[in-house]
Amino acid sequence: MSAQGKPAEHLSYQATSYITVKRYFFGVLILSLIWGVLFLKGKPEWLQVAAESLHLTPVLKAQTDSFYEQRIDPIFEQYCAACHNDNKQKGKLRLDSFRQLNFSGKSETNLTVAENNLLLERMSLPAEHRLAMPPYGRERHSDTDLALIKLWLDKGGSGQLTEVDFPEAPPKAKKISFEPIDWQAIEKARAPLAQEVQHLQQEYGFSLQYQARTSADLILNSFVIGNRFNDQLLTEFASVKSKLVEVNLYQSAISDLSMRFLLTCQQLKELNIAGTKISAEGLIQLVSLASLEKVLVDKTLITPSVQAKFEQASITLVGVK
Amino acid sequence: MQIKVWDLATRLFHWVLVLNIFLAWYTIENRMIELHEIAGHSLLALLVFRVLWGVIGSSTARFTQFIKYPRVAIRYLINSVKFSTPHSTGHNPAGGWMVIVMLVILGFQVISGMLSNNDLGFSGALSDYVSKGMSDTFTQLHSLSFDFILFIVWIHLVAVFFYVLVKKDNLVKAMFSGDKNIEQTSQSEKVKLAPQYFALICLGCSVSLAYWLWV
Repeated sequence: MSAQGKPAEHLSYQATSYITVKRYFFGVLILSLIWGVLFLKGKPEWLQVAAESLHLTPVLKAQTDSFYEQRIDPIFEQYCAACHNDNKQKGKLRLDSFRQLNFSGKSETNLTVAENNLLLERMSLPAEHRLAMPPYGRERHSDTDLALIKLWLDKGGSGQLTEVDFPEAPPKAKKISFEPIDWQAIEKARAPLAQEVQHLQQEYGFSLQYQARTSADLILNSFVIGNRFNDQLLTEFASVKSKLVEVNLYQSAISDLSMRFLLTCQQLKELNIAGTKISAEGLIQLVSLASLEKVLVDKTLITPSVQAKFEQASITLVGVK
Repeated sequence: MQIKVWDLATRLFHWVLVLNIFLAWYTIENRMIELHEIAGHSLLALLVFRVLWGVIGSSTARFTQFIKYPRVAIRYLINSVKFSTPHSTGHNPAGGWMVIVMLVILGFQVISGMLSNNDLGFSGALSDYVSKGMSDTFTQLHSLSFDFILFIVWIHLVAVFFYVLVKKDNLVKAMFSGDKNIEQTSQSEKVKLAPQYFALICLGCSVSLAYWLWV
């Protein structure tokens, strides 16, 4: 016990070991350096940035017109980059640029040489294989894509060679793409007349339809109602006339009285009035409709003068027997 | 003469933790995501257990026993290489901070793992509570923080082997047997071992939590 009544501490450590502090930390330093080198070996991007900063090496990137940028990068972009990008780096691999491809990822193998190319090997595996890339269930590249990558690798996996250097490469496929449908915009365009359209559809069934799922324009068709569709009934659709682009009144009971209605349909492009009571005089009035492109009428109504007037207005007049 | 400084629960925790970290690394390296998830939840159970054990466990395992002011730990480190530090029965002041740093980093690793996804059908237990973008970010951080774990493990090994090789105080053996030579302990620090059923209660709680999050 100490003088203060506290139990005495054991003697502190004695430097009696053969391994001294200096020797030990020298060993630790060596091991840390080895560990650091191994760690840096797994970070080729850091080394590249350092070398570029010191101007020891040119900036690693592919030319804009290179075969890689034009033909190979789009393949990686379509099938690989979703998981191998800046944000995800699966397997520490990025395939979103030529520069990143050179850094190889976890495998630390050179992915720009053809021989034993891990990238090519994994992409060549059957789709169901555990190690296949892209993984099972993902959109998969074609054999042509794979052949193209192989061709590029066979010529050195360069970021400088252009398409001229690859005459054997199949021509670039034309890409057809569709604009994404903006459902909100369609709904917004339909909104002003949505209630009226709904009401008329409940009242007259299939007589009133939208031109397409993606359109706010309307088509009026008297076919379901037949010859009961008369001038009076047509006026029922007055609330939606601003959106009518096609009107089919074939064999309905409308007459020249409906001309007043039809002439106010400013968007009307196609009109079928064959088999109706509309006269040649009434028909002539239609040339004043700026948007009208095509009119189907009884053949008997088409005289040379009528034909000439419609031609003058750039409206196609089709005669129906 | 030998005295017991590490109870069975603390020793088991330590070595199972080592094994668990290795398994977590091995399973992810070999694309065994289901097993990796199990390893992660086991790690969660271990960490929760250690936190509980740090509150109600044996005296050498308690946080109140080994958490000192950082300046005390730094002074201890400086004096340690000069051989002018007294023996500690449990964790020394620097070792105590190592425990805390380990728990925090491993805790982050577990939580980030539970918030991550692999884009191939796997989502961590908590990933539905964050947006996909946020989950992707945690997936990245989960991968990055492993480098920190390696670094901390390296520092831990350097410190432990400094004791074993230079100071001739075999901490590794003590962590296996639980015993230390009485000359290599602090006289002022008396060990109070907690009942083993306390450890079972802590284990029950931690495993239940980890299992509940897993299923």
